Amino acid sequence: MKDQIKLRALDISHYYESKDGKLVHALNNINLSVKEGEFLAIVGSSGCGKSTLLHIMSGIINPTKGQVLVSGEPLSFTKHRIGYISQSDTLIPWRKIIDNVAVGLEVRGIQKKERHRIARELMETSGLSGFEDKYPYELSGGMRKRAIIIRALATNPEIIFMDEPFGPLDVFTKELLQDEILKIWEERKNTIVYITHDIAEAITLADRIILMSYRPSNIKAEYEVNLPRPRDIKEDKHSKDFVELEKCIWEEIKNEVTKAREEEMHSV
Amino acid sequence: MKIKERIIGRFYSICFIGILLIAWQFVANREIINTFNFSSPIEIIKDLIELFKSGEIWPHIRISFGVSLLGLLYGTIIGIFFAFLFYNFGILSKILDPIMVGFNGLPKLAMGPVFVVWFGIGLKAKIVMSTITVFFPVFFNAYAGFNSTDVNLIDTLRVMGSSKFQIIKKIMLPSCIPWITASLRGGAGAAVTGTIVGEYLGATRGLGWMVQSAGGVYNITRVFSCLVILLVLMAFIDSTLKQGERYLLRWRQ
Repeated sequence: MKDQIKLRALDISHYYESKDGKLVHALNNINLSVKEGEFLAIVGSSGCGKSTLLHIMSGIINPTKGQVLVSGEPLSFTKHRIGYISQSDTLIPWRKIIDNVAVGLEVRGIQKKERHRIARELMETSGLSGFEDKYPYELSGGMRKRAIIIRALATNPEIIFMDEPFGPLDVFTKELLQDEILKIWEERKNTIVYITHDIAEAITLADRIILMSYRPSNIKAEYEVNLPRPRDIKEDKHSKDFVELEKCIWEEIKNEVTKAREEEMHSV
Repeated sequence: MKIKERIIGRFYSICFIGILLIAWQFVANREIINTFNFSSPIEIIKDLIELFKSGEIWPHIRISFGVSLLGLLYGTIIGIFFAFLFYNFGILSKILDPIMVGFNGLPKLAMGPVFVVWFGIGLKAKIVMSTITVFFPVFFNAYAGFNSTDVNLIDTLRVMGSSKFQIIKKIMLPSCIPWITASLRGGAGAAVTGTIVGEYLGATRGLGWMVQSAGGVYNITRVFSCLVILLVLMAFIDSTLKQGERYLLRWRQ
Protein backbone atom coordinates (compact mmCIF):
# COMPACT_ATOMS: atom_id res chain seq x y z
CA MET A 1 0.00 0.00 0.00
CA LYS A 2 2.67 2.43 1.09
CA ASP A 3 4.79 1.98 -1.98
CA GLN A 4 2.03 2.44 -4.49
CA ILE A 5 2.51 5.49 -6.65
CA LYS A 6 -0.32 7.94 -6.20
CA LEU A 7 0.73 10.89 -8.28
CA ARG A 8 3.04 10.98 -11.22
CA ALA A 9 4.26 13.94 -13.24
CA LEU A 10 5.58 12.82 -16.61
CA ASP A 11 8.02 14.88 -18.70
CA ILE A 12 6.54 18.19 -17.62
CA SER A 13 7.83 21.23 -19.48
CA HIS A 14 6.17 24.57 -19.31
CA TYR A 15 6.50 27.93 -21.01
CA TYR A 16 4.51 31.04 -20.30
CA GLU A 17 4.43 34.59 -21.51
CA SER A 18 5.55 37.13 -18.97
CA LYS A 19 3.88 40.52 -18.59
CA ASP A 20 6.37 42.23 -20.91
CA GLY A 21 5.69 39.65 -23.60
CA LYS A 22 8.79 37.52 -23.19
CA LEU A 23 8.50 33.76 -23.37
CA VAL A 24 9.64 32.24 -20.08
CA HIS A 25 10.85 28.68 -19.94
CA ALA A 26 9.64 27.82 -16.46
CA LEU A 27 9.92 24.07 -16.15
CA ASN A 28 12.18 21.73 -18.03
CA ASN A 29 11.31 18.07 -18.37
CA ILE A 30 10.32 17.26 -14.83
CA ASN A 31 9.60 13.70 -13.78
CA LEU A 32 8.27 13.15 -10.33
CA SER A 33 6.38 10.47 -8.43
CA VAL A 34 4.65 10.72 -5.11
CA LYS A 35 3.82 7.56 -3.19
CA GLU A 36 0.47 6.91 -1.64
CA GLY A 37 0.38 8.46 1.83
CA GLU A 38 3.66 10.28 1.34
CA PHE A 39 4.33 13.80 2.55
CA LEU A 40 6.46 15.42 -0.13
CA ALA A 41 7.89 18.91 0.20
CA ILE A 42 9.19 20.91 -2.73
CA VAL A 43 11.62 23.69 -1.91
CA GLY A 44 13.35 26.27 -4.01
CA SER A 45 14.21 29.94 -4.09
CA SER A 46 11.49 32.34 -5.15
CA GLY A 47 10.91 32.43 -8.87
CA CYS A 48 12.10 28.87 -9.38
CA GLY A 49 8.75 27.77 -10.71
CA LYS A 50 7.66 25.64 -7.78
CA SER A 51 4.23 27.26 -7.69
CA THR A 52 3.89 26.68 -11.42
CA LEU A 53 4.76 23.03 -10.88
CA LEU A 54 2.14 22.75 -8.15
CA HIS A 55 -0.46 24.43 -10.35
CA ILE A 56 0.30 21.86 -13.01
CA MET A 57 0.34 18.86 -10.69
CA SER A 58 -2.95 19.91 -9.14
CA GLY A 59 -4.50 20.37 -12.57
CA ILE A 60 -5.18 24.10 -12.28
CA ILE A 61 -3.09 24.83 -15.36
CA ASN A 62 -2.16 22.57 -18.23
CA PRO A 63 1.54 22.11 -18.94
CA THR A 64 2.93 23.01 -22.35
CA LYS A 65 4.22 19.46 -22.53
CA GLY A 66 3.76 16.42 -20.34
CA GLN A 67 1.08 14.76 -18.31
CA VAL A 68 -0.11 14.31 -14.75
CA LEU A 69 -1.45 10.95 -13.62
CA VAL A 70 -3.35 10.11 -10.46
CA SER A 71 -3.31 6.39 -9.70
CA GLY A 72 -2.33 5.84 -13.31
CA GLU A 73 -5.16 7.84 -14.86
CA PRO A 74 -5.07 11.42 -16.19
CA LEU A 75 -6.03 13.80 -13.40
CA SER A 76 -9.66 14.89 -13.41
CA PHE A 77 -11.36 17.15 -10.87
CA THR A 78 -14.60 15.24 -11.01
CA LYS A 79 -13.10 11.77 -10.87
CA HIS A 80 -10.40 12.41 -8.28
CA ARG A 81 -10.80 14.20 -5.00
CA ILE A 82 -8.19 16.94 -4.88
CA GLY A 83 -7.55 19.32 -2.03
CA TYR A 84 -5.83 22.57 -2.78
CA ILE A 85 -4.66 25.11 -0.23
CA SER A 86 -3.03 28.19 -1.62
CA GLN A 87 -1.08 31.00 -0.12
CA SER A 88 -3.96 33.44 -0.38
CA ASP A 89 -7.08 33.65 1.71
CA THR A 90 -9.60 31.70 -0.31
CA LEU A 91 -12.57 31.58 2.01
CA ILE A 92 -15.63 32.79 0.15
CA PRO A 93 -16.40 36.09 1.91
CA TRP A 94 -20.20 36.00 1.55
CA ARG A 95 -20.56 32.51 2.96
CA LYS A 96 -20.75 31.67 6.62
CA ILE A 97 -17.85 29.59 7.89
CA ILE A 98 -19.87 26.40 7.99
CA ASP A 99 -20.97 26.87 4.39
CA ASN A 100 -17.40 27.59 3.42
CA VAL A 101 -16.17 24.41 5.04
CA ALA A 102 -18.97 22.47 3.38
CA VAL A 103 -18.65 23.95 -0.10
CA GLY A 104 -16.67 21.02 -1.51
CA LEU A 105 -19.39 18.65 -0.37
CA GLU A 106 -22.06 20.96 -1.72
CA VAL A 107 -20.38 20.94 -5.12
CA ARG A 108 -20.48 17.15 -5.04
CA GLY A 109 -24.19 17.16 -4.37
CA ILE A 110 -24.22 16.10 -0.69
CA GLN A 111 -27.44 17.05 1.09
CA LYS A 112 -27.34 20.07 3.34
CA LYS A 113 -27.95 18.18 6.56
CA GLU A 114 -25.22 15.70 5.90
CA ARG A 115 -22.65 18.24 4.74
CA HIS A 116 -23.31 20.45 7.74
CA ARG A 117 -22.84 17.46 10.01
CA ILE A 118 -19.45 16.71 8.47
CA ALA A 119 -18.43 20.36 8.55
CA ARG A 120 -19.49 20.74 12.17
CA GLU A 121 -17.48 17.69 13.18
CA LEU A 122 -14.35 19.02 11.47
CA MET A 123 -14.84 22.44 12.99
CA GLU A 124 -15.03 20.88 16.40
CA THR A 125 -11.76 19.00 16.01
CA SER A 126 -9.94 22.12 14.88
CA GLY A 127 -11.28 24.42 17.56
CA LEU A 128 -13.68 26.36 15.37
CA SER A 129 -16.87 25.41 17.20
CA GLY A 130 -19.08 28.39 17.82
CA PHE A 131 -17.96 30.11 14.63
CA GLU A 132 -20.31 28.22 12.31
CA ASP A 133 -22.51 31.22 11.58
CA LYS A 134 -19.77 33.84 11.43
CA TYR A 135 -18.55 35.40 8.22
CA PRO A 136 -14.86 35.07 7.28
CA TYR A 137 -14.09 38.72 8.08
CA GLU A 138 -15.03 38.05 11.70
CA LEU A 139 -12.21 35.50 12.15
CA SER A 140 -8.49 35.98 12.74
CA GLY A 141 -5.95 35.05 10.07
CA GLY A 142 -5.03 31.81 11.83
CA MET A 143 -8.64 30.74 12.21
CA ARG A 144 -9.36 31.48 8.58
CA LYS A 145 -6.42 29.29 7.60
CA ARG A 146 -7.77 26.53 9.82
CA ALA A 147 -11.14 26.80 8.13
CA ILE A 148 -9.41 26.55 4.73
CA ILE A 149 -7.55 23.42 5.83
CA ILE A 150 -10.63 21.63 7.07
CA ARG A 151 -12.53 22.72 3.98
CA ALA A 152 -9.92 20.84 1.95
CA LEU A 153 -10.23 17.85 4.28
CA ALA A 154 -14.02 17.76 4.17
CA THR A 155 -14.15 15.93 0.86
CA ASN A 156 -11.60 13.40 2.16
CA PRO A 157 -9.18 14.16 -0.68
CA GLU A 158 -6.80 11.60 -2.11
CA ILE A 159 -4.12 14.22 -2.59
CA ILE A 160 -3.73 17.59 -0.91
CA PHE A 161 -1.65 20.27 -2.57
CA MET A 162 -0.40 23.11 -0.42
CA ASP A 163 1.31 26.18 -1.80
CA GLU A 164 3.15 27.93 1.03
CA PRO A 165 -0.05 27.79 3.02
CA PHE A 166 1.29 29.56 6.09
CA GLY A 167 3.38 32.16 4.30
CA PRO A 168 1.67 35.31 5.50
CA LEU A 169 1.07 34.20 9.11
CA ASP A 170 3.08 35.12 12.19
CA VAL A 171 5.62 32.63 13.57
CA PHE A 172 3.49 31.39 16.48
CA THR A 173 0.39 30.76 14.44
CA LYS A 174 2.53 29.16 11.80
CA GLU A 175 4.05 26.65 14.22
CA LEU A 176 0.68 25.81 15.70
CA LEU A 177 -0.76 25.13 12.28
CA GLN A 178 2.27 23.08 11.21
CA ASP A 179 1.74 20.98 14.28
CA GLU A 180 -1.91 20.53 13.36
CA ILE A 181 -1.09 19.57 9.80
CA LEU A 182 1.31 16.93 11.14
CA LYS A 183 -1.34 15.51 13.45
CA ILE A 184 -3.96 15.45 10.73
CA TRP A 185 -1.59 13.78 8.31
CA GLU A 186 -0.33 11.23 10.82
CA GLU A 187 -3.93 10.31 11.50
CA ARG A 188 -5.32 10.33 7.97
CA LYS A 189 -2.28 9.58 5.81
CA ASN A 190 -3.45 11.60 2.84
CA THR A 191 -0.89 12.11 0.14
CA ILE A 192 0.44 15.64 0.50
CA VAL A 193 2.52 17.79 -1.82
CA TYR A 194 3.73 20.82 0.04
CA ILE A 195 5.52 23.84 -1.42
CA THR A 196 7.66 26.07 0.72
CA HIS A 197 10.78 28.20 0.64
CA ASP A 198 11.33 27.52 4.33
CA ILE A 199 13.82 24.65 4.59
CA ALA A 200 13.17 24.05 8.29
CA GLU A 201 9.44 23.79 7.63
CA ALA A 202 10.06 21.23 4.90
CA ILE A 203 12.25 19.10 7.15
CA THR A 204 9.80 19.33 10.02
CA LEU A 205 6.88 18.11 7.96
CA ALA A 206 7.98 15.96 5.06
CA ASP A 207 9.12 12.42 4.35
CA ARG A 208 10.99 13.52 1.28
CA ILE A 209 12.22 16.89 0.03
CA ILE A 210 12.76 17.88 -3.56
CA LEU A 211 14.93 20.86 -4.34
CA MET A 212 14.24 22.73 -7.56
CA SER A 213 16.81 24.54 -9.62
CA TYR A 214 16.44 28.03 -11.04
CA ARG A 215 14.64 28.55 -14.37
CA PRO A 216 14.22 26.60 -16.54
CA SER A 217 13.85 24.49 -13.48
CA ASN A 218 14.07 20.82 -12.92
CA ILE A 219 14.78 18.64 -9.94
CA LYS A 220 18.18 19.54 -8.61
CA ALA A 221 18.38 17.25 -5.61
CA GLU A 222 16.30 14.91 -3.51
CA TYR A 223 16.55 14.21 0.21
CA GLU A 224 14.96 11.59 2.43
CA VAL A 225 14.02 12.90 5.85
CA ASN A 226 14.66 10.13 8.33
CA LEU A 227 13.40 11.82 11.47
CA PRO A 228 11.12 9.45 13.39
CA ARG A 229 7.34 9.89 13.49
CA PRO A 230 5.38 11.21 15.24
CA ARG A 231 7.44 14.33 15.08
CA ASP A 232 7.85 17.04 17.61
CA ILE A 233 8.05 20.49 16.07
CA LYS A 234 9.92 22.03 18.98
CA GLU A 235 12.40 19.25 19.78
CA ASP A 236 13.27 17.95 16.32
CA LYS A 237 14.78 21.28 15.35
CA HIS A 238 17.72 20.63 17.65
CA SER A 239 18.41 17.05 16.64
CA LYS A 240 21.65 16.31 14.82
CA ASP A 241 19.96 14.86 11.73
CA PHE A 242 17.78 17.92 11.35
CA VAL A 243 20.63 20.40 11.59
CA GLU A 244 22.81 18.46 9.19
CA LEU A 245 20.10 18.11 6.58
CA GLU A 246 19.20 21.76 6.86
CA LYS A 247 22.83 22.74 6.28
CA CYS A 248 23.14 20.41 3.33
CA ILE A 249 20.01 21.78 1.59
CA TRP A 250 20.97 25.32 2.39
CA GLU A 251 24.35 24.89 0.63
CA GLU A 252 22.61 23.66 -2.51
CA ILE A 253 20.03 26.45 -2.48
CA LYS A 254 22.73 29.07 -2.04
CA ASN A 255 24.26 28.06 -5.36
CA GLU A 256 20.89 28.40 -7.04
CA VAL A 257 20.19 31.80 -5.52
CA THR A 258 23.57 33.07 -6.67
CA LYS A 259 22.88 31.75 -10.15
CA ALA A 260 19.47 33.40 -10.20
CA ARG A 261 20.90 36.70 -9.12
CA GLU A 262 23.60 36.62 -11.79
CA GLU A 263 21.03 35.87 -14.44
CA GLU A 264 18.88 38.78 -13.34
CA MET A 265 21.88 41.09 -13.48
CA HIS A 266 22.58 40.00 -17.03
CA SER A 267 19.05 40.47 -18.22
CA VAL A 268 18.84 44.04 -16.90
CA MET B 1 -22.51 59.16 20.49
CA LYS B 2 -22.95 58.53 16.78
CA ILE B 3 -26.72 58.29 17.09
CA LYS B 4 -26.81 61.53 19.05
CA GLU B 5 -24.81 63.28 16.35
CA ARG B 6 -27.18 61.99 13.71
CA ILE B 7 -30.24 63.20 15.58
CA ILE B 8 -28.70 66.63 16.02
CA GLY B 9 -27.82 66.69 12.33
CA ARG B 10 -31.40 65.77 11.38
CA PHE B 11 -32.76 68.40 13.72
CA TYR B 12 -30.70 71.14 12.11
CA SER B 13 -31.62 70.14 8.59
CA ILE B 14 -35.33 70.14 9.49
CA CYS B 15 -34.90 73.59 11.07
CA PHE B 16 -33.17 74.80 7.93
CA ILE B 17 -35.92 73.56 5.64
CA GLY B 18 -38.53 75.04 8.00
CA ILE B 19 -36.85 78.43 7.89
CA LEU B 20 -36.72 78.32 4.09
CA LEU B 21 -40.43 77.45 3.89
CA ILE B 22 -41.39 80.18 6.35
CA ALA B 23 -39.31 82.72 4.44
CA TRP B 24 -40.96 81.59 1.18
CA GLN B 25 -44.42 81.97 2.74
CA PHE B 26 -43.45 85.35 4.18
CA VAL B 27 -42.30 86.87 0.89
CA ALA B 28 -45.37 85.38 -0.80
CA ASN B 29 -47.75 86.97 1.75
CA ARG B 30 -46.03 90.32 1.46
CA GLU B 31 -46.28 89.99 -2.31
CA ILE B 32 -42.55 90.53 -2.67
CA ILE B 33 -42.67 87.65 -5.13
CA ASN B 34 -45.43 86.99 -7.59
CA THR B 35 -47.38 83.99 -6.26
CA PHE B 36 -48.63 83.29 -9.78
CA ASN B 37 -45.08 82.42 -10.76
CA PHE B 38 -43.71 81.16 -7.45
CA SER B 39 -46.72 79.80 -5.55
CA SER B 40 -46.37 79.42 -1.77
CA PRO B 41 -45.95 76.57 0.71
CA ILE B 42 -49.52 76.89 2.04
CA GLU B 43 -50.97 76.82 -1.48
CA ILE B 44 -48.93 73.72 -2.27
CA ILE B 45 -50.03 71.96 0.93
CA LYS B 46 -53.63 72.81 0.20
CA ASP B 47 -53.26 71.46 -3.34
CA LEU B 48 -51.63 68.27 -2.06
CA ILE B 49 -54.43 67.69 0.43
CA GLU B 50 -56.92 68.25 -2.36
CA LEU B 51 -55.12 65.81 -4.68
CA PHE B 52 -55.02 63.05 -2.09
CA LYS B 53 -58.50 63.70 -0.73
CA SER B 54 -60.11 63.37 -4.13
CA GLY B 55 -57.86 60.41 -4.88
CA GLU B 56 -57.09 61.95 -8.24
CA ILE B 57 -53.35 61.58 -7.76
CA TRP B 58 -53.14 57.85 -7.07
CA PRO B 59 -53.32 56.50 -10.63
CA HIS B 60 -50.57 58.91 -11.66
CA ILE B 61 -48.30 57.87 -8.81
CA ARG B 62 -48.98 54.23 -9.50
CA ILE B 63 -48.11 54.59 -13.17
CA SER B 64 -44.90 56.55 -12.65
CA PHE B 65 -43.79 54.40 -9.76
CA GLY B 66 -44.59 51.17 -11.61
CA VAL B 67 -42.85 52.24 -14.79
CA SER B 68 -39.77 53.32 -12.82
CA LEU B 69 -39.61 50.01 -10.97
CA LEU B 70 -40.01 48.05 -14.19
CA GLY B 71 -37.26 50.12 -15.76
CA LEU B 72 -35.04 49.48 -12.78
CA LEU B 73 -35.77 45.76 -12.89
CA TYR B 74 -35.31 45.31 -16.65
CA GLY B 75 -32.30 47.61 -16.79
CA THR B 76 -30.61 45.69 -13.99
CA ILE B 77 -31.30 42.25 -15.42
CA ILE B 78 -30.32 43.17 -18.97
CA GLY B 79 -27.27 45.05 -17.68
CA ILE B 80 -26.02 42.04 -15.73
CA PHE B 81 -26.78 39.72 -18.62
CA PHE B 82 -24.82 41.80 -21.12
CA ALA B 83 -21.96 42.25 -18.68
CA PHE B 84 -21.85 38.49 -18.34
CA LEU B 85 -21.79 38.00 -22.11
CA PHE B 86 -19.06 40.59 -22.52
CA TYR B 87 -17.01 39.00 -19.78
CA ASN B 88 -17.29 35.51 -21.23
CA PHE B 89 -16.85 36.36 -24.89
CA GLY B 90 -13.77 38.54 -25.16
CA ILE B 91 -14.38 39.06 -28.86
CA LEU B 92 -17.74 40.66 -28.10
CA SER B 93 -16.23 43.17 -25.75
CA LYS B 94 -13.48 43.97 -28.26
CA ILE B 95 -16.02 44.77 -30.96
CA LEU B 96 -18.70 46.43 -28.90
CA ASP B 97 -16.74 48.19 -26.17
CA PRO B 98 -16.28 51.47 -28.07
CA ILE B 99 -19.94 51.41 -29.08
CA MET B 100 -21.04 50.90 -25.48
CA VAL B 101 -18.81 53.68 -24.24
CA GLY B 102 -20.12 55.93 -27.00
CA PHE B 103 -23.75 55.25 -26.21
CA ASN B 104 -23.08 55.71 -22.55
CA GLY B 105 -21.70 59.18 -23.26
CA LEU B 106 -24.83 60.05 -25.21
CA PRO B 107 -27.54 61.76 -23.16
CA LYS B 108 -30.11 58.96 -23.25
CA LEU B 109 -32.98 61.36 -22.61
CA ALA B 110 -32.25 63.01 -25.93
CA MET B 111 -33.34 59.80 -27.59
CA GLY B 112 -36.81 60.20 -26.07
CA PRO B 113 -38.57 61.38 -29.24
CA VAL B 114 -37.20 58.38 -31.12
CA PHE B 115 -38.72 56.02 -28.56
CA VAL B 116 -42.05 57.82 -28.76
CA VAL B 117 -42.01 57.28 -32.52
CA TRP B 118 -41.03 53.63 -32.14
CA PHE B 119 -43.15 52.64 -29.19
CA GLY B 120 -45.97 55.17 -29.18
CA ILE B 121 -47.10 57.36 -26.32
CA GLY B 122 -48.20 54.41 -24.22
CA LEU B 123 -46.32 52.85 -21.35
CA LYS B 124 -43.89 50.98 -23.56
CA ALA B 125 -41.88 54.04 -24.54
CA LYS B 126 -41.44 55.10 -20.92
CA ILE B 127 -40.42 51.64 -19.79
CA VAL B 128 -37.86 51.50 -22.59
CA MET B 129 -36.63 54.94 -21.64
CA SER B 130 -36.12 54.15 -17.98
CA THR B 131 -34.70 50.70 -18.78
CA ILE B 132 -32.04 52.24 -20.98
CA THR B 133 -31.07 54.88 -18.45
CA VAL B 134 -30.64 52.15 -15.81
CA PHE B 135 -28.93 49.70 -18.16
CA PHE B 136 -25.69 51.59 -18.70
CA PRO B 137 -24.53 52.19 -15.13
CA VAL B 138 -25.49 48.63 -14.15
CA PHE B 139 -23.79 47.17 -17.22
CA PHE B 140 -20.48 48.95 -16.64
CA ASN B 141 -20.45 48.19 -12.95
CA ALA B 142 -21.36 44.53 -13.35
CA TYR B 143 -18.71 44.18 -16.06
CA ALA B 144 -16.12 45.64 -13.73
CA GLY B 145 -17.44 43.29 -11.06
CA PHE B 146 -17.03 40.18 -13.21
CA ASN B 147 -13.53 41.27 -14.16
CA SER B 148 -12.54 41.68 -10.56
CA THR B 149 -13.67 38.19 -9.55
CA ASP B 150 -10.98 36.58 -7.43
CA VAL B 151 -9.35 33.93 -9.65
CA ASN B 152 -8.22 32.06 -6.54
CA LEU B 153 -11.84 31.50 -5.53
CA ILE B 154 -12.67 30.18 -8.98
CA ASP B 155 -9.68 27.81 -8.89
CA THR B 156 -10.62 26.66 -5.41
CA LEU B 157 -14.03 25.59 -6.63
CA ARG B 158 -12.73 24.17 -9.88
CA VAL B 159 -10.35 21.87 -8.05
CA MET B 160 -13.24 20.65 -5.93
CA GLY B 161 -14.92 19.48 -9.12
CA SER B 162 -17.39 22.33 -9.71
CA SER B 163 -19.17 22.63 -13.00
CA LYS B 164 -19.01 25.93 -14.92
CA PHE B 165 -22.57 26.65 -13.88
CA GLN B 166 -21.79 26.12 -10.20
CA ILE B 167 -18.86 28.51 -10.44
CA ILE B 168 -21.06 31.18 -12.02
CA LYS B 169 -23.74 30.71 -9.39
CA LYS B 170 -21.56 30.34 -6.34
CA ILE B 171 -18.69 32.69 -7.14
CA MET B 172 -19.13 35.01 -10.09
CA LEU B 173 -22.62 36.35 -9.54
CA PRO B 174 -22.25 36.86 -5.78
CA SER B 175 -18.93 38.61 -6.20
CA CYS B 176 -20.68 41.09 -8.47
CA ILE B 177 -23.25 42.06 -5.87
CA PRO B 178 -21.30 44.90 -4.26
CA TRP B 179 -20.74 46.41 -7.71
CA ILE B 180 -24.36 46.04 -8.72
CA THR B 181 -25.80 47.49 -5.54
CA ALA B 182 -23.42 50.42 -5.89
CA SER B 183 -24.86 51.13 -9.32
CA LEU B 184 -28.45 50.50 -8.30
CA ARG B 185 -29.01 53.57 -6.17
CA GLY B 186 -27.74 55.76 -8.96
CA GLY B 187 -29.76 53.65 -11.35
CA ALA B 188 -32.97 54.25 -9.42
CA GLY B 189 -32.59 58.00 -9.87
CA ALA B 190 -31.97 57.36 -13.54
CA ALA B 191 -35.08 55.18 -13.78
CA VAL B 192 -37.35 57.87 -12.33
CA THR B 193 -35.77 60.55 -14.50
CA GLY B 194 -36.24 58.36 -17.57
CA THR B 195 -39.88 57.79 -16.69
CA ILE B 196 -40.68 61.44 -16.02
CA VAL B 197 -38.98 62.69 -19.16
CA GLY B 198 -40.74 59.95 -21.10
CA GLU B 199 -44.01 61.25 -19.75
CA TYR B 200 -43.13 64.82 -20.68
CA LEU B 201 -42.71 63.76 -24.25
CA GLY B 202 -46.12 62.25 -24.65
CA ALA B 203 -48.44 60.55 -22.21
CA THR B 204 -51.95 60.63 -20.91
CA ARG B 205 -51.14 59.80 -17.31
CA GLY B 206 -48.28 59.85 -14.81
CA LEU B 207 -46.54 62.42 -12.66
CA GLY B 208 -44.43 63.62 -15.59
CA TRP B 209 -47.56 64.18 -17.63
CA MET B 210 -49.12 66.01 -14.68
CA VAL B 211 -46.14 68.34 -14.34
CA GLN B 212 -46.17 68.97 -18.06
CA SER B 213 -49.86 69.70 -18.32
CA ALA B 214 -49.96 71.86 -15.16
CA GLY B 215 -46.97 73.84 -16.44
CA GLY B 216 -48.75 74.28 -19.73
CA VAL B 217 -51.57 76.17 -18.04
CA TYR B 218 -49.29 78.05 -15.64
CA ASN B 219 -50.53 76.07 -12.63
CA ILE B 220 -47.23 76.42 -10.77
CA THR B 221 -48.73 75.23 -7.48
CA ARG B 222 -49.62 71.93 -9.11
CA VAL B 223 -46.13 71.60 -10.56
CA PHE B 224 -44.65 72.05 -7.10
CA SER B 225 -47.11 69.54 -5.63
CA CYS B 226 -45.93 66.96 -8.13
CA LEU B 227 -42.30 67.74 -7.36
CA VAL B 228 -42.97 67.19 -3.66
CA ILE B 229 -44.52 63.81 -4.44
CA LEU B 230 -41.57 62.89 -6.63
CA LEU B 231 -39.21 63.89 -3.85
CA VAL B 232 -40.97 61.61 -1.37
CA LEU B 233 -41.08 58.81 -3.94
CA MET B 234 -37.34 59.07 -4.58
CA ALA B 235 -36.56 59.14 -0.88
CA PHE B 236 -38.67 56.03 -0.43
CA ILE B 237 -36.97 54.11 -3.25
CA ASP B 238 -33.54 55.19 -2.10
CA SER B 239 -34.02 54.16 1.51
CA THR B 240 -35.50 50.82 0.45
CA LEU B 241 -32.48 50.15 -1.75
CA LYS B 242 -30.19 51.20 1.07
CA GLN B 243 -31.82 48.67 3.38
CA GLY B 244 -31.56 46.01 0.69
CA GLU B 245 -27.91 46.81 0.16
CA ARG B 246 -27.19 46.56 3.85
CA TYR B 247 -28.83 43.14 3.92
CA LEU B 248 -27.08 41.83 0.81
CA LEU B 249 -23.68 43.02 1.97
CA ARG B 250 -23.98 41.88 5.58
CA TRP B 251 -20.91 39.72 5.07
CA ARG B 252 -18.74 42.76 4.69
CA GLN B 253 -16.93 44.54 7.43
